[in-house]
Amino acid sequence: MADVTLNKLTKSFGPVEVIPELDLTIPSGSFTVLVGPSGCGKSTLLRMIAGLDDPTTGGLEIDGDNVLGKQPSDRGIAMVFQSYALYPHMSVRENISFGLRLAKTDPTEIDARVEEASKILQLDPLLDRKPKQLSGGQRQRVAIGRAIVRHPKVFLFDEPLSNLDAALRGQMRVEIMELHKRLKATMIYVTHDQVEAMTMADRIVVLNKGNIEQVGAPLELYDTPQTPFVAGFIGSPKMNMIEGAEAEAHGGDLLGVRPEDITLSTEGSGWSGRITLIEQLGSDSYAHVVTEHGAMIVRCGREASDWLDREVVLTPASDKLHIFRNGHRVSA
Amino acid sequence: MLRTREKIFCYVVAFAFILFLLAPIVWLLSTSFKGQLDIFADPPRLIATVTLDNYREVLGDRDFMHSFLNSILVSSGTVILSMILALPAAYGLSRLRSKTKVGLLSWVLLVRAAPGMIYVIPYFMAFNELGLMDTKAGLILINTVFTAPLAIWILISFFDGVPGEIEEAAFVDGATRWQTFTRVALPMAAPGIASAAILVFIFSWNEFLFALTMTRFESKTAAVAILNYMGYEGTEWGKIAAAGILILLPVAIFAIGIRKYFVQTSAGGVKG
Ligand SMILES: Nc1ncnc2c1ncn2[C@@H]1O[C@H](COP(=O)(O)OP(=O)(O)O)[C@@H](O)[C@H]1O
Ligand SMILES: [Mg+2]
Repeated sequence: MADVTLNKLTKSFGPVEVIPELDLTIPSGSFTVLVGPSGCGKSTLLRMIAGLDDPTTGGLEIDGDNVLGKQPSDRGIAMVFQSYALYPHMSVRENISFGLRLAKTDPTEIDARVEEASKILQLDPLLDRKPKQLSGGQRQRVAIGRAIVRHPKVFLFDEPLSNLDAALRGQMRVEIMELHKRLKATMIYVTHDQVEAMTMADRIVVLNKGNIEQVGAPLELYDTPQTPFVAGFIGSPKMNMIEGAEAEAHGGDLLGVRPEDITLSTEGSGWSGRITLIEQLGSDSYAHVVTEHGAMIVRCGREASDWLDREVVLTPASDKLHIFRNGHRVSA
Repeated sequence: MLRTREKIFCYVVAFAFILFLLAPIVWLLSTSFKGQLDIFADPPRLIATVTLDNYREVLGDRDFMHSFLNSILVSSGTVILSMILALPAAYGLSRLRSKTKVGLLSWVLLVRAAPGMIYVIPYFMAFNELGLMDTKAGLILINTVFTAPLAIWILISFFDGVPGEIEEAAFVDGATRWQTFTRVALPMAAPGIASAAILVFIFSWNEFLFALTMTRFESKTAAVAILNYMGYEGTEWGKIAAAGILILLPVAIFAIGIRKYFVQTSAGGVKG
């Protein structure tokens, strides 16, 4: 089984420590998303798994084999780059088959694999084109096709959708998830977009400055974020954060409530505030409220538009409060 | 948009400049088709009676044609040797990520910038010892001293233009560094290679100082052979002009050919 295990892995570029010390096991067959803000070391981590960078210290196993010192092509991995990284002077067919041709694979086998990949990705009509004759989405599919034909144990994706427009991104997201279902290979997917992480992953690893903040299923991270960073990073709009006396009253130094866990009303007890703005999304509305504890965003019904610029009362659901102390969740 | 008067001004300046650049060539071209008498007609005429005698005599001159062939062989040889040295060197320098790179590059530039005269005497003596005097191999060698750095400087920027991610994709696909060089970087830098090869050819073709000092007869090049028409018994202007035009011909063809490479890019491999 193609587990990927990182063992006390560290990485420094000169004096700059990018990955302090990191332990992580990525289970075989999982769709694991590494998510974190830009510059937190996601690409560095992926490149070390791929063998494009060497860790400074620590161990790295793929499928039980120590792969340190092995060439990328001997690790059973394939990688899809953010920039697609297609060979511009080769046709789509040549791009996809390049690795197989280098490995002196039997030509009939090459044809079979190219056909298989182009059927999965609907590349048939494009096989004789050059990359510059393709749209962004098509180029990304070619890059994925190049990965598929190698029959890797582990697929590595580095922000593969960030150069596509929103509509195409949604479509490619579904295609990659279907690909995972079909191939059942381990996929490690890097993104800075928490929506991508939530929708695609069966396991999310949240990274912050090279450290793992939390590992878990998407809803686990959403429902029980272990650190304020995860609480703020996962979910959109962001979780409301309250410091000070109100947090202390709940037994922590930081209190978080998601926009959908607060009820708005014109009377009753709770936090008082005034609605300054209402965002209408059609399905939902979000009220921006200035409260005694700072600015908050609250999900509300359409009727709330009548309350613009009026004093309102915010009542948080008492069982949905996220309480943190010293940067960690207070178990309660 | 430029106003009409400004446009006219631009055209006038451009034409004046072109005239300034082309006047000697026009004179050469017109002289090459004139008889000896017409050349010295007063006032000079641009178009006189057209005669092909000059070309007939130059093309029939075995010594000159021998030199012309030498020029082709020496220039082609210089292109090949320069490329064999410059391609891997430029690729390596382009991929080098350390401070040595800047140092190495300035040395390369220094060699290129030094006056050719500095090289003449040491090479003259060395070539005498090594038996390379008046040989095409020797001329190729000394030309390459100058053209390889030129080629390296041109090629580096084209190799710099090959995105790192594309090479990394090739590594993941199982390519060795050498295969990445030959099958990904070289084809992607093809426009640069063509530009560099053409410039090296033109440099070597026009090279005069070394060809004059390092050859006697056997490997004399066309640029030097023209001097034969400036004999004791007077200068044969018609032949000089015809020979000059013949020497100019390959350069002109290459100069036209090179234009399309300078605008070509390697779009499509990576985003945008
Ligand atoms: N080759 C390198 N040399 C020096 N610093 C680097 C290098 N590659 C990445 N870094 C640094 O490491 C940090 C993490 O980079 P990266 O892994 O690309 O982040 P991410 O992919 O999460 O945006 C950044 O601060 C970046 O500047
Ligand atoms: Mg990155």
